[in-house]
Amino acid sequence: MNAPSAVFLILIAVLLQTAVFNNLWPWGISPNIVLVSVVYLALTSKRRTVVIAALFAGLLLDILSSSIFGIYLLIFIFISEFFLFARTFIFAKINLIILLFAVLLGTVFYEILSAILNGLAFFLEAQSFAYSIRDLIFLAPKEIIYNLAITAIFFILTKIFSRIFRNDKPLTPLIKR
Amino acid sequence: MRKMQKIFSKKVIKAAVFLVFIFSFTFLSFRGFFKGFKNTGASLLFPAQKVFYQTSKRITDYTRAVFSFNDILKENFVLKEQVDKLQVDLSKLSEIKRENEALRESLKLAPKDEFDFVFANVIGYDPVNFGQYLFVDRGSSAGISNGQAVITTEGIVVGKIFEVQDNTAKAQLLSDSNCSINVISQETRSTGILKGTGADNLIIEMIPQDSAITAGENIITSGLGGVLPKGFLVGVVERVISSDVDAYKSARVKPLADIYELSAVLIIKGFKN
Repeated sequence: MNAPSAVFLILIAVLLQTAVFNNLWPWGISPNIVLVSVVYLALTSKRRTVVIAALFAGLLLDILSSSIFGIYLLIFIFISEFFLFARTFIFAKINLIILLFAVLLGTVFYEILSAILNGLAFFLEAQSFAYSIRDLIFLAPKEIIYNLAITAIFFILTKIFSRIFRNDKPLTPLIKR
Repeated sequence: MRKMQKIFSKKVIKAAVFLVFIFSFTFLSFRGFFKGFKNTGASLLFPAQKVFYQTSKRITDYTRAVFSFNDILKENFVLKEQVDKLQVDLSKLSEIKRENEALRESLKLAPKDEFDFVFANVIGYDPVNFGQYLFVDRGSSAGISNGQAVITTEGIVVGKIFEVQDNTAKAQLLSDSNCSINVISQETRSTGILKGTGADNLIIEMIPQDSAITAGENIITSGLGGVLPKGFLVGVVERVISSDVDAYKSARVKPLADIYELSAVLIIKGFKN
């Protein structure tokens, strides 16, 4: 995927997450498709595209969230850099299991970094870490399940579309960069 | 020496510079340096967000209606019977109205028409703190300012304005863990501070030990602190938590407004002259 397409994908993911998913998952938590998109791009796109997409995702979430500006930028840079580093050996081949494992790992990183950085910000504002920790313990497992489900659906749809358009490699990892 | 050179290779230096940049960026942001940029970015995103939110709301409402077609038919039958019954009840309406006015006076509930409202459409939710902040399509150009109360069209408090741009605003919902308002129970007049828990229910803290607050009681705003006007419904007490060793009681409250079903809200600008 090229950089403009990745930016467009991230924009749509952010809009879906902020304006649509609350209608579909009205239980206080929804899949983090921005994260899923960044992880997917980090495994399948060129380094430049991944960095641009991660910066754009972080920027949009920082603009729309009530957290301190820069926190999600930092989180997405960490996550994208990790997958860019790891994809040459751990995620060299992409199938459903590998993709699910990557999303699981990405969500865990995201939740831990989010809890630490938001907790730190609250601490500086003389608030408590308690809610960040509680979110990590109680909400993160639900988000992981949702993210994995969305990834599986996304993967199956990609397979179906690639068969329709006679493309045997729906998700092509970049081994040589 | 070579080892040192290896450690401080170009990549490591690049990464260090980048990290220093990001941390400085976050620090400046903490000092409010990027507020203007954040507001401009949000203003650019909100039109698209509004379209997505309203379209998805219409689709989900329509889908729910289609899937509950049998229920709607049954409901229709029941409603027809109720209409007949209501014809009879209508004659008693004037008496009920008078009684309602008397009750409102005795409970000191604020009548909605005393306030100056702004109608605003909900256009989205905070992507990170899901269910704790929502965005509306009215901002400072419509007279919205920080701290103004946000209520449902039925008059139930959902939160207060947290951030304002020219044409949009962000409301902090009662469910947010940083949100606190002064409340009072409707029957036993027990006072306390209602706080969000980040989850579906709310908690009232600092209820005096000698208060007789009970489950099932309505909770209304007390007007203390000057944040929200007095007498607006908030929720219902689910459970009272009391211990002899604690100086105060606390109570779990179920909010009456379903924040995930909101398509529009009213923002209280002030009292009518």
